[in-house]
Amino acid sequence: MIRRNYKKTLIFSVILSLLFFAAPVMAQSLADISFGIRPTTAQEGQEETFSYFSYRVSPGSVFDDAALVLNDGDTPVTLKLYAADGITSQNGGTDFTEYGQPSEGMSSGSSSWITLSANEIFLNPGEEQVVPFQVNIPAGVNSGQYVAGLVVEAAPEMINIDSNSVDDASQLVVETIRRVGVAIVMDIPGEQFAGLEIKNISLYQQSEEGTTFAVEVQNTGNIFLQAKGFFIVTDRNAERVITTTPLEFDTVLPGDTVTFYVPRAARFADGKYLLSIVLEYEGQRATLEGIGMNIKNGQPQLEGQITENIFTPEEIEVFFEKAEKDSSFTWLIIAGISFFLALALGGFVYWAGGKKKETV
Amino acid sequence: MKKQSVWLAIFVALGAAILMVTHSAALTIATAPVTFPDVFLTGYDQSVLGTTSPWQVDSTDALDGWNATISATNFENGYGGIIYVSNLEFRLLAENISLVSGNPLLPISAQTEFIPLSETATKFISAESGSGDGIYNLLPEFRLRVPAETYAGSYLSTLTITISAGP
Repeated sequence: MIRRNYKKTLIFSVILSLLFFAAPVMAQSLADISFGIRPTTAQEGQEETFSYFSYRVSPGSVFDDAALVLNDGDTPVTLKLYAADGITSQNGGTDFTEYGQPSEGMSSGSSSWITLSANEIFLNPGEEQVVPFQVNIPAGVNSGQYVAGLVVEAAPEMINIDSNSVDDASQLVVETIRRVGVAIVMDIPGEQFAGLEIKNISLYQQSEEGTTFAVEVQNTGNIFLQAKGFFIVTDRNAERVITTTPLEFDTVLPGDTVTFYVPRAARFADGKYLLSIVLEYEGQRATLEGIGMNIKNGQPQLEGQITENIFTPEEIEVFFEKAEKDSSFTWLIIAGISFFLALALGGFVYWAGGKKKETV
Repeated sequence: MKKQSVWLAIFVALGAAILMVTHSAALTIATAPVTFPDVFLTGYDQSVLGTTSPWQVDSTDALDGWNATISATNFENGYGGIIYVSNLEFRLLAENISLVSGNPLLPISAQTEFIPLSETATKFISAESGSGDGIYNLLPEFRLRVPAETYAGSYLSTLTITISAGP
C-alpha cells in the first residue's frame, strides 16, 4: 500500500517537474529573441529597487551604478542601449521617450544626467552583461521626483513586402520594434507637493459596443502620483445620478498631461446629461463638475461646463465611503467562502483518513 | 521508505533549482507579427481586421509591478501616400489574457475597447505589486480603416511595444 502511494507521488512529481520545465520552452517558442534589463542590486528597505533604480540624492551629486542586460532567448541579439526621459503613457503608468526624443514634463532632459558605458551590446543566448553607468545630478535642480530610464531596444522585426501584389490593391505591412525599459527615479529633497488638475472630459466614441470617455488630467505637483475616484453621470438638473463608474488612475509623472480612457459598456439614450469627475490623490481631492452632454438621434455632443459645484464635499465623501464599504463587503464574502472551503477540505481529509484506517 | 523520501526530496529540489536558473529572467515581452489582408480598393472606406498570434509577457521576477505600452506611426507608401495612424485601432480584451505559469492573479488590460493608436504610447496592460508576476499570453486585436482616397501600393507602419518596470 505504502509502495503504491510512493509510486503515485513519484509520477505526480515527474509530471509536475516536466510541466515546470516545459513552461520556459513554450515561452520562447513564440519568438526567438527575448531580452531585458534590470538593476544589479537592490537597496535595503527599498523594495521597489528589486525592479527599478531609485535614489534620494542632493543636487550636484555624482554617483555610479550598474544595470544587468540579459539575453534569455535562443538566438544572439544586438541591442541598442540608451537613457531616455520618463513620460506618462496614455492610461497612466511610466514609459520612456523614443531614442533621442525629449519629454514635455518635469523629467524633460533628465536622461542627459545619465552617462552609459555602452550604447550597443551583443549578447549570445543565455549571456548577460553588466553595464555601468554614471548619474550626474545638476547643481541647480529643483526639489521633486525626476524619472528617467534605461532602455534596451532590438532592431525592428521586418515583415517581407510581397512584390507580386495586385495593382488595384493596398498591401499593409507592420514592422515591430520591441523595447524593455527600467526606470531611474531621482528624488531630490526639499519642498515636495502633490497637485492634480482635471483638465477636460470628452466623449471619445459611442457605438453599439458602448461608450468611451476621455479624461485629461495634469500632474501640477513635483511628485508622481496615482488617483482614485468616480465618473458620475447625472440628469441635466443634477437631481438624479444615472451612473457612477469607479476610476483608478495609474501613475502620472510630475508636469505630465495625460488622457485616461473610461469605457462604459452601454449606450446613452437621447437626452441631456451632466458629467462630473471626482478624484482623490495623496489625501487631496480634484473635481471637474457639470460638463454638459446632449445626445440627439444617438449622436452625442459635449457642451462645456454648464454648472459648477454639483456635489457638496459631504456628498463626495459619501461616494468614497460607499466604495470602501462595497470593497469591504466583497472581501467579507471572499473570506466566508474561503472559510467554508477550508472546512469542507478538512472534513474530507478527516473522512478519507477514517476510510483508510478501516481498510488497514 | 526513508531512503526513497530523501531521493524524492533531492529530485524535487533539483527541479526547483533548475527552474530558478532557467527563470532568472528579465521582464520581457515577445510579440508576434501583425498582418493585414491586402485591401482591394473600391472607392469606399473599408475596415479590415489585423491578425496576430499570442504575444507573451515574462514577468516572473517583476514583483513590484510593470506595464506595457504601444504606439504606432502612419502607414506610408514611400511616394507620399499616407493612411494616418488614427485609422489604426487597438484593444486587448480581458478574456484574451491567460496564465501560462506563475501568479494566477493576472495582469489587467488597460484598453478593453477599441481606441485609435498614435505616436504617443498608450498603456494596454499592467500589473500591480503582488499580481502579474509570471508568464502570460495575450492576444491583442487590431482594426484598420482604409479610407476611400487611398492609392494602391505597399504601406508600412511601425509599432513600438515597450514593457517597463517603474513607479
